[in-house]
Amino acid sequence: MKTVEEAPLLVEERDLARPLNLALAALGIVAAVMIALQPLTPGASLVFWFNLMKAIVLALSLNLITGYTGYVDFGHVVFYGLGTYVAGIAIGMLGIAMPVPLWVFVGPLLVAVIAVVVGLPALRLRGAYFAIAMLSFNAATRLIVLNLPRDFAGGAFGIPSPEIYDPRTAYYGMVGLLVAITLVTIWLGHSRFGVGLKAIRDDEIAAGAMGVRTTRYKLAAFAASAYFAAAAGSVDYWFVAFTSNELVFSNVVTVEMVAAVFLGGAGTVVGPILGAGTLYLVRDFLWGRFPYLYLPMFGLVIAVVVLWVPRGIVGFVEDRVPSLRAKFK
Amino acid sequence: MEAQILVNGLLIGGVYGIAALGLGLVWGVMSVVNVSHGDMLIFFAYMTWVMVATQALNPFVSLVLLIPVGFLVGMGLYRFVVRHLVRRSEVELMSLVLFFGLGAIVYGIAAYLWGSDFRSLPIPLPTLRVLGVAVPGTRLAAFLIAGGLVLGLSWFFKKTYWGKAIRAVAQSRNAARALGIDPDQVSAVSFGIALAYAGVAGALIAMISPLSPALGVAYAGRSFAVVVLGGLGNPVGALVAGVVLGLAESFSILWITFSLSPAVAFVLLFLVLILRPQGLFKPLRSR
Repeated sequence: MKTVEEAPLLVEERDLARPLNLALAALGIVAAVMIALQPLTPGASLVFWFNLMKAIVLALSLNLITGYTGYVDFGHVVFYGLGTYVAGIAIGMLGIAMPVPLWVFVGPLLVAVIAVVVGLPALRLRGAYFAIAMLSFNAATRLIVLNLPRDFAGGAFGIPSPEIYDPRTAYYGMVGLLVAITLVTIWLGHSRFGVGLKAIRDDEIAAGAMGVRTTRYKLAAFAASAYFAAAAGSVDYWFVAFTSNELVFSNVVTVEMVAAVFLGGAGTVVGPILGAGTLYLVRDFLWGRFPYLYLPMFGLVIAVVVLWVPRGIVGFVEDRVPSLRAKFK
Repeated sequence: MEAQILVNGLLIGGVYGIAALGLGLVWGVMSVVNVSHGDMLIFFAYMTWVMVATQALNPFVSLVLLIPVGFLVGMGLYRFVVRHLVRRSEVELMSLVLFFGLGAIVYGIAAYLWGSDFRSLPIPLPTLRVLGVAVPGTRLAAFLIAGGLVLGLSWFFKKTYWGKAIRAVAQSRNAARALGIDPDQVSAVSFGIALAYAGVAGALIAMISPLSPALGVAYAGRSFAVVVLGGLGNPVGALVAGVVLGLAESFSILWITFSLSPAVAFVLLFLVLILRPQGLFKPLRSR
């Protein structure tokens, strides 16, 4: 039994009044650099910056459910994949007459609804069982999408839409998404809702006893997390004008997200951005030179972080420079 | 037709049962969830393939060789990696993430060494015909080996000192320590046994199906479905759950479509988790 002194405070004081400085400054700089660089650079760099932003958005989206609520989601890529398919089916297969940018942000709402339907039973499971339920949900979804009629979901061939190919505009879509999810994450650190989520992470039963509506809070966090992953998917579809089953439901994408969140520091704003950015640069370096090395390397990062730096880069720095503590989140 | 499908499902179900044993054992004894279990199974399967293809070994000999290999790998994995986690709070969650990373390593190495082509062994035993039903000899042997080893483990848990010590540690590490059992030692042995069984299962998988590194995900799903259905670390439960899954998969080929049959394990797992998360059989932890 823990004594009263040792028991973790459910709501730490610093959670309620934290300066935005560092997170906002980082966001501002990143966004400014990207927007400034984009028109000046040739196509290849556009892909580089776009994918960097995509990696950060995906890591931040996983962070919403896994970092803040403590529910480890090993099937999170499913929402990204469904996001590409919602855009692909609507634009490439059904040809629904709606402006592409509108689709790209409205379509993922469908995926958020799916997340609520799945989350309603799945979020009743704790710990490993939730993680495995999501892992199996992704695997089953991938196979079901693969077996949908070919003239609806493209089968193994995928869905191309060359007519919407416009990477320069899609690029700004991703910039907007990055800004939006960063603001949402910052807001979590300062709102009643965010404090409620962290209380669920620390002790769900106690949180419920304190009046946190745990089911609603978890579902809302899960839906938001799914929305942003799906939106990253549809913007990606806009950017490359193609989706294929093999790529967008791949567990490798989940591995990257999990590695980014835990390397940077789960449940913070800066952590997943740092983690995703670092891993993206490493991956970009390894991918061309040692294509097979990069997956084991991501795995190694996860293992090392869990064993030796369980709170990630942010926790590591906080422990050494306590004065930074308040500014990181 | 139905009789043939029944036989196919039954025979492959034994392999699913033994494949899941190691996962359930480690989970039940030390709350460590080895999400890389499927990738490890396939890695052992490839080791069988290498021994048979390059050294012209009999696959059944490679199966026997993989028992000590698996045991030592398991002991080492516990001693050098898992032991650092078991003492912390939140073991289950952190082990989940740790093994997720280890799985990426094992999968990545398998993909590097053996590529994404399917590899298969020559079928070692002929097919028998019983009452108009084809019974592949290799699958029959795999079923018998799996069934025998699973029942042997059940006997081991009930009758031997080490078996009882493992069950004691599964119930309570502290109480076991008070009785003079070293939980660390017992956990290491459990991990060894778990991977020895994974080694055998890997060899059996290599004998009955073509291999690709991506098969790891399918076997992870099957193993989790079997563990959840059959109770954590309950050998007989695992065997029965394996057969249930095997039958469900083979009948889905008849009733739905061939390409959806890998999804059966995942759908079954998802449904069982949501409807009856405590499983159908008693876990190792209970008496």
